[in-house]
Amino acid sequence: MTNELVHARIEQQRPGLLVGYETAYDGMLSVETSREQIGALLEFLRDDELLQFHFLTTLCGIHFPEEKDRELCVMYQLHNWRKNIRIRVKVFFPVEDPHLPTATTLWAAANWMERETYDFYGVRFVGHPNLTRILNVEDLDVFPMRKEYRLEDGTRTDKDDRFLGGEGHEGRQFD
Amino acid sequence: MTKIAEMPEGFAGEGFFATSLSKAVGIARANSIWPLPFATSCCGIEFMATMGTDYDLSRFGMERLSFSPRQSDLLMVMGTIAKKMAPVLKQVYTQMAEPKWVIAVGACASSGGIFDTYSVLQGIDKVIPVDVYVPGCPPRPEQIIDGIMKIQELVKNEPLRRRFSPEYQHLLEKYQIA
Amino acid sequence: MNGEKIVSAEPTIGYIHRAFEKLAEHRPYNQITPITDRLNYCSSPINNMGWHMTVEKLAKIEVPKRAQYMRVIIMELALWTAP
Ligand code: SF4
Repeated sequence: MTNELVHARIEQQRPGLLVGYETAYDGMLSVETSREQIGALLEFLRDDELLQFHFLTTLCGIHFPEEKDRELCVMYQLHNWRKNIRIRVKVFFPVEDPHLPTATTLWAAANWMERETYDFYGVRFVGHPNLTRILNVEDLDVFPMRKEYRLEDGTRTDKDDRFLGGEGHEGRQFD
Repeated sequence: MTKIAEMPEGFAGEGFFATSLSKAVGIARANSIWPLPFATSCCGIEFMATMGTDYDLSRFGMERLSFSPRQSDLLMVMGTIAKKMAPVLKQVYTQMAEPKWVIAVGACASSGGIFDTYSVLQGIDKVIPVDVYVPGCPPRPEQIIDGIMKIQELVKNEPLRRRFSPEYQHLLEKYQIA
Repeated sequence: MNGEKIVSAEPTIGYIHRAFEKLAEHRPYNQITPITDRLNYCSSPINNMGWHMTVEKLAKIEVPKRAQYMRVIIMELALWTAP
């Protein structure tokens, strides 16, 4: 089975599900869909007797701050073990309104991955059974993987990197 | 060959030896430290090498690792302590009985190391008092042994009353440990 | 907990979350190698290889035969030490 076949099959069985598609640099089929269609597309990919993408390899968020109204992206990677073919599904949506239907109804494995995506990017998965922070401390009030947040701990007071080209630290007085 | 701890200063005579209680207790403590390994990441692997036969930490009276904080004297923190882990570390420390010592093994435990990030505690001395820092990422087993010997030196020379002194109470208060 | 019996438990993770991803965002490719080293400290060369192969795929670099042999040897050695 080839990428063209997979794409043709989706288009033939469910026309209108896809917004765009390409073959990525590594030869994997990468399709894009919309927020409204993602649930239907994933279910179709899993249950179609020809495609059988029954395994959710990974699910993660991506942040593109420059692209207006397409800032956040959630990427699903599915794998068909029997034919050993993979597919990448992407959904883009604006950062102001980050919500997406959950995939936990299709794969139980999506549970923690969605929690992680929520933790890092603040994507709200509607219908998720327990959407709380997973890796970070509960009371963190930012979504740290978004590009606007800095890497270093903002509360740090013991670092003076002005001589290394940094901007120093407001927390401490130097004279 | 068994090696016997060296005699402290004191008066020796025919059939008797007198020294201060502090010194005798110090020697006894220093040569029978029970460590509690708090190994969270890579430095823990290095510690396992140190415990193993090649480097053999049990030479220093550490035959038994204590995995219960209540029965241990030395907290060995090895590896990155994330902010989520910090309360756990503090709880382990408070559960240990006095007298207790802490050794921070590796750059991460001492200062955050290469992980200068939002999620990593920048040195465990932010939450608990530390006696000896061992640098390195990861430190060689020799370095860890050197740190252990420094701890032994501290233990040996610690006055019995130190844990009741106002300075020590003040130190604990600073870390908000009752 | 009921006495000494554990009645129910809930798994949580993230106790050594070190923000690798964010750290890697801020570094040139070759400087990420020490971070992947410390991902899995039992078999760090194998982790490095995963990262290097990713970069090679991205940059379309082909690795010479000799380097590939060396990699395999190093990875096998790492496999011995990994428990
Ligand atoms: S100091 Fe280095 S080797 Fe030790 S835990 Fe930190 S990253 Fe790992």
